[in-house]
Amino acid sequence: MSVRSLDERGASELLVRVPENELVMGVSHTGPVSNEALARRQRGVWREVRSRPSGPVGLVCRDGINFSAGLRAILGCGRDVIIAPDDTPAVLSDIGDRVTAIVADFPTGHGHEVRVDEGDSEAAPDEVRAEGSPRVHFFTSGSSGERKLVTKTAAQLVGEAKLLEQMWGPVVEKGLIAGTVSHQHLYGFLFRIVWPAITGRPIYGPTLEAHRVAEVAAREGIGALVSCPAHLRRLPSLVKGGSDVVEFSCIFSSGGPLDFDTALACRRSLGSAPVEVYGSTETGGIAWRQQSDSDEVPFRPFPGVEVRVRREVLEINSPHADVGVEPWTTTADRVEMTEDGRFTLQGRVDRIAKISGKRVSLIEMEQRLLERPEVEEVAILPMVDETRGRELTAALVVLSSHGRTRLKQEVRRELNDSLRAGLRESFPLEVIPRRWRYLSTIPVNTQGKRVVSELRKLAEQRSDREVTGLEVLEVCREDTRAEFRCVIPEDLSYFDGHFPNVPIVAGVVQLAWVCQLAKDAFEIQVQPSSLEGVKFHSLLRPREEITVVLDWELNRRKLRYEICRASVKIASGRFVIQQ
Amino acid sequence: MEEFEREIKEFLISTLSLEDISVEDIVSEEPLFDTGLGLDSIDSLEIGIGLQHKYGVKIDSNVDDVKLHFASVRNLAAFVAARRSA
Repeated sequence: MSVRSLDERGASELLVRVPENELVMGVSHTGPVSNEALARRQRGVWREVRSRPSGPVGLVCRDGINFSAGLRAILGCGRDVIIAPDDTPAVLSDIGDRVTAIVADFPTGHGHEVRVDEGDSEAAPDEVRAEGSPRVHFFTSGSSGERKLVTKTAAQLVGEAKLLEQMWGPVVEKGLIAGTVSHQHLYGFLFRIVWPAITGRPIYGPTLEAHRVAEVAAREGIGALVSCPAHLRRLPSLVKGGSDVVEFSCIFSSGGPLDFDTALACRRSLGSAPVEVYGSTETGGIAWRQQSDSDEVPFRPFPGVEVRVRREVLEINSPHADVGVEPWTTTADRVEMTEDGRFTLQGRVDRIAKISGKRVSLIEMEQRLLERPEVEEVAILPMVDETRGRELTAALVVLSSHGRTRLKQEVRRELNDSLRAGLRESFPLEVIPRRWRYLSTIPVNTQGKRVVSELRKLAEQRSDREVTGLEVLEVCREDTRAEFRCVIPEDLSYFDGHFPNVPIVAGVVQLAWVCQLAKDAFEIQVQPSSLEGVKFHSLLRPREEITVVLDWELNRRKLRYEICRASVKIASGRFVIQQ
Repeated sequence: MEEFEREIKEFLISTLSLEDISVEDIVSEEPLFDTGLGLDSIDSLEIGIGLQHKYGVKIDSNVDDVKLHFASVRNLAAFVAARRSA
């Protein structure tokens, strides 16, 4: 079967038509949604978009069901769709400049917004049919630099989704298709939206946070989980702690290499080893593998995708690749082919940095560090020390339990030096990391990919105590939440005279710490004068280990904080953030 | 002399923006380059410039035994002190 044989009209029609029946098409926060309800939402958007000036239409929805309604409505108008890569103000304003309307299921603040109406009233129902040959535009994730627009035709999208059904449809017999990765990027879009749309498979609308997977799976029944290595690494232990038995017929992973240990852990506690999908926004799906018993399973190209190797680098010829791309596309991955046409990935071609004149493979350095018992995850970043104007590397490290023990027993310098010493054999001194940041996780975006600009922010925060007077051991950052595990040093100047022989941390000092940490984490200015509900529950002394938790409530423009020692609450309160 | 060694340590920390290292963490006899503090050729260059700025001490790599003088804080302090009073 050739995927190209699917014509545009037929593909569009498959996507746009919503069957008029009572079957459940998905489950949202508020409960099940029927095909009829989806069709109503689709028609609502369709009527609105048709009345807007011609031109492409933006799409950004937090719920996959609303997203599906919006997508199918816009295509039904014969308009091109631009999918927002996330819902940050910067992205929405960038998209806003390119479109005549933005379809959304939350207030975007955009002037041309069309809201998906979840209500059940309707005037005269229209039948939405395919029109023209609209295309769908995606932004690449920007993990390696500038965002780029990538274009797909309806035939390409439906063709790729048909392939998914052909390969994994028989495995996923029942249950919802749910995902921890966003549907606003190609991978989540294909697996969570298009595949279900053309096959009538029900979906779980919201994008799942890793810690909610077990609960939703137990309540709603999830057949296939669309995820990524960063999330899958955490899932088995999250599931193990709970009372729910969680099993998926199929787990998908994409966005980066999945380590064998995680594959095994998933097989043991989630019911199956993940199917790893290798591809990119530009190329679409290229190949897949499942590490069930061995980590040496090569990737098998998808039917219809041709692969070849030139100077160790993989090239592909695929019907799923970006419109307008040459027949053969060079990827950024080095591979080794096996005799039966499968291949193993040998690392990226790029990520070579030049530090003070010396070339260094950042990946190789990361691999060296991963061999250390102290290191669980690591990211090496090239950067510039602004005060000196010199190029250097920074290492963001997630320590193993062994590493954490060392960090507790020794001063930071000893651990830094020991990790540096291990690199000296393979790398020139100039490129060996000068800055070491010990974190509880390495942050990833909704696609499970590391974003260089985010990592750089972490590397640029000074690790030592001058900034806050606190020794920060670990930082765990999510979008609107940050957790800092810190130790209060013995020799703080704050203790002088406060009080003789009984040194305690004054409340005003604690507040100053919170202000500084908030600035580091969210780049927001908070003033102690804007405080509400301040409470100091217990005393804080030198050498104690504390956790500072910051919750930024964007809508209410408040920053809640809590300082805890073990499970004892020390202080809490809220800052009101002025614009 | 101990006082001056301390000053040199402070000078190194600020000139090279060394992280996670306080004056107390630097042992006067430990090697500055390769092992020990693990400084490199670029640091060496910056130390040279910094010394000239701060102490007016000029290093001529053709005449001075840079390797010896830069071997440790102790050597560096002795070298700068001697050159300054000269």
